[in-house]
Amino acid sequence: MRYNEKELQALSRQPAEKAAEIGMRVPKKGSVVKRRLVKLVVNFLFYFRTDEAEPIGALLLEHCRIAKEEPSGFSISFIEDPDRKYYFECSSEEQCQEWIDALRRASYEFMRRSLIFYRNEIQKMTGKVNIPGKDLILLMFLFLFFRTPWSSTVSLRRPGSS
Amino acid sequence: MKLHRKSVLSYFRGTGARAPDREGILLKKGTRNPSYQRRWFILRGNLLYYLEHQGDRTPLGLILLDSCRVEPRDSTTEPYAFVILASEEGGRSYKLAAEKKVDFDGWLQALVWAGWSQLWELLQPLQEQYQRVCQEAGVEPQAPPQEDRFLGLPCSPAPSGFQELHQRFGEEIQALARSRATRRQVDLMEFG
Repeated sequence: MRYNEKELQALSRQPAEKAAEIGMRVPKKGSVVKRRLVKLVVNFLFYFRTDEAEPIGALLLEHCRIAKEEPSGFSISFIEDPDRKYYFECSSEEQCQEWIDALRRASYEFMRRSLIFYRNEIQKMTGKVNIPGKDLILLMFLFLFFRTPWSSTVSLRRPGSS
Repeated sequence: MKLHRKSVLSYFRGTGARAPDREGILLKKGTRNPSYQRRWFILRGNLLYYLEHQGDRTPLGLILLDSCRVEPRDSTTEPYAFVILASEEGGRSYKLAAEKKVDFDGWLQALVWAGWSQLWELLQPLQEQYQRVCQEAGVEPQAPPQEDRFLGLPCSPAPSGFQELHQRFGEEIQALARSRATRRQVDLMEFG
């Protein structure tokens, strides 16, 4: 499967949601923990040798499981290959939990589910979805909302005046 | 740099019957060969995959939309042509064309709004509103579900009422998107 290396590199240079030096172990036989600069950009996790400008690798954070690993670490594995885990060792429990939360929130599919969840909950509690002022945001939300197959069973009501 | 293919392929294949955001035939100009090839394109989230044939298990290629911008373009041979341009100097450009106007409009709209940041910008105010509403109702805010299956809904086509709504909102979005053309660096005046 072809992809453009420059696109990936460009992405790795975009502002990161989170970046830190963390111990990392790849799911390869005999691999050991190595200190890496780990950088979260959109739904990609890039990892660099600590003194290099270009990443060694990139992981797409979709359809993956992010699990706590004792002590103060976490792992990333993919649904299609659950036994091959990328292990990360943090310097504290706090840092570990921050990373787990950030990595989960970074998934495009998680964000999409969240959008629908919030919309449904707001409608249940208030009887309407009122997004003050931003017509474009409302319409874009609806556009994205209707891109997903789940929207068919949620009834649409015009929002109240903003 | 090693892009871990399994993660990308896993997302491409999807879980269960979840349909992609958009798919269909687009003409793609070759890099070495200047003629257009018919390819099956699949948009899932912020990733655009292309296959040699519909139903292929492994894509031919992948385009990272967050590193690119999408614009209509002039073509001597194709009336519904557009380009996906890498935002960096010397980056690759993907010269594509739709076979019909309706596909051209649909793909441009889908691709321009497929970026991760756009979704994030939509999510933030809604999340804030949710927390405000919870506070007002004296209810503890919940976290959104981690798993897809919480909705337990079939991925079947929507009833016709929804299709009309979709069409209407699509038109309204195009109109609004046109008025934001300068900020978006996409000349949307030429379509829709």
